[in-house]
Amino acid sequence: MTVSQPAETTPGAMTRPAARTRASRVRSIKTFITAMLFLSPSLLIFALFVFVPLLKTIQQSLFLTDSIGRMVTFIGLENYQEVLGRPDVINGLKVSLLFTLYVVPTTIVVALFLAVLSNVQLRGISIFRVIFSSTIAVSAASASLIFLFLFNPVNGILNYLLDVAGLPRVPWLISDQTALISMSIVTIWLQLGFCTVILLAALQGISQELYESATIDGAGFFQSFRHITIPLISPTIFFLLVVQTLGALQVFTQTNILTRGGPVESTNTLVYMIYRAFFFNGQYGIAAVLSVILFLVMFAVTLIQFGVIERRVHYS
Amino acid sequence: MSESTTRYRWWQKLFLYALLVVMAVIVLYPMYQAFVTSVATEADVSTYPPKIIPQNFNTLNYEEANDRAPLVRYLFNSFVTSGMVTLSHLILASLAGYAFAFMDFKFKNFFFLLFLSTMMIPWEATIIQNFLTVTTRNPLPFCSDNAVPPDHRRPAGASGARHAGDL
Repeated sequence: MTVSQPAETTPGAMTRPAARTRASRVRSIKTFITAMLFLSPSLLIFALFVFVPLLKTIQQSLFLTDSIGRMVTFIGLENYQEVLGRPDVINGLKVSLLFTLYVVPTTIVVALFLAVLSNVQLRGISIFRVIFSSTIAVSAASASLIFLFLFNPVNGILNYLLDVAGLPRVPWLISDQTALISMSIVTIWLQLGFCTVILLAALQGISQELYESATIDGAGFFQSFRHITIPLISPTIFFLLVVQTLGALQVFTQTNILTRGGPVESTNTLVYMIYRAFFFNGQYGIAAVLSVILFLVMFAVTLIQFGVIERRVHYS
Repeated sequence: MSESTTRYRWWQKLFLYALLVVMAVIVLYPMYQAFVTSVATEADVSTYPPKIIPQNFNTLNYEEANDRAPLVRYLFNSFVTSGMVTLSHLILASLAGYAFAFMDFKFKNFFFLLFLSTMMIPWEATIIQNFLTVTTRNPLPFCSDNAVPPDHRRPAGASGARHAGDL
């Protein structure tokens, strides 16, 4: 995990080693203070609304709570022991990870296709760029409601199209075999706009001269795509991968509107379990434990992404 | 791919336009269907085969929705909220982004990880404490008691507005 390092500024005229180290130490402290001034407004907000609440949640996960959530008895890791063995928690974890696996790669690949397609130079291409980015203006709640109509097993448009094509109907949201995939379709559609905008911006930042010299060297479309486009937009793809993964692991609105965790718990994500435990079952300690587990899972996934994939990212 | 340098042949143009139109229809269709449903009558929504072109076009649904809830007011609230969020994001993020991009300071990677970790904390893990922070009497010097109007001081499920980019 590295942030690009700026070039070292030229040290002062001092040449004696002792003086130089002292000067550089003073300078490094000065830089640190300046940097902290830049970061402090954000850090203050984070502290108030993210870190302190998180610490309280962790604290709560170590206590037995009463019916309105006050911490009563310190029980250490007992909540964790109780939660980690439960089959529904394992299921929740599985559903969350599976959903992420369905959504993130598909979204990025389809968005890349749309971005490349709308990066061609044709009359009226800007209209298509607007259309491909348009789902950025749709909220998750609206998208879920719209697809609730489309997924209707009796008179929804998707089953109607299957009828017209002479294919068997799909139960979409009402079967535990297809519900998670249906939820993924909504999410992929919803995220396409955002991913396409970001990828299109990256594509337009690539110098045309590179493609021109590649063409002169005899490279075809796919060779240019493989050896010029992909490396140059890899930082953008990596950014989307990290952001979309974190988003997919925290999906809530789609579950809540489309399936409420059903059928047969097949869409009951970790986040939805937290919501149920907290708002319906009053299990504040359990909800806190699940939140901590979800945080650890996301932290681990992000670290893996930085460790394994960022090495292959090409920073120019 | 190659902008401005390549002249497409007519069949290449035709193919690209066909592909663009097909993809545009797929992307736009759900929104179009939502519009069709919004101008249909109650009876038309539940017919088979489903209506793809609006029939019995009417705006009754819009009128009823506006009667049931002050939609204009809600829209105004959304504008105020998103305006404030955008403005503060621009200011705070450009300050922090400048430091991360152009300065070389001690513990830079640690602070970067700290910033990044805020994306990994589930919203559900902090909402309760945050709810208390903005509703309790003067918990912070700059957060007045009226930051949340009294009739909204209840958790409205967990389906409230989340920050942009959320799924």
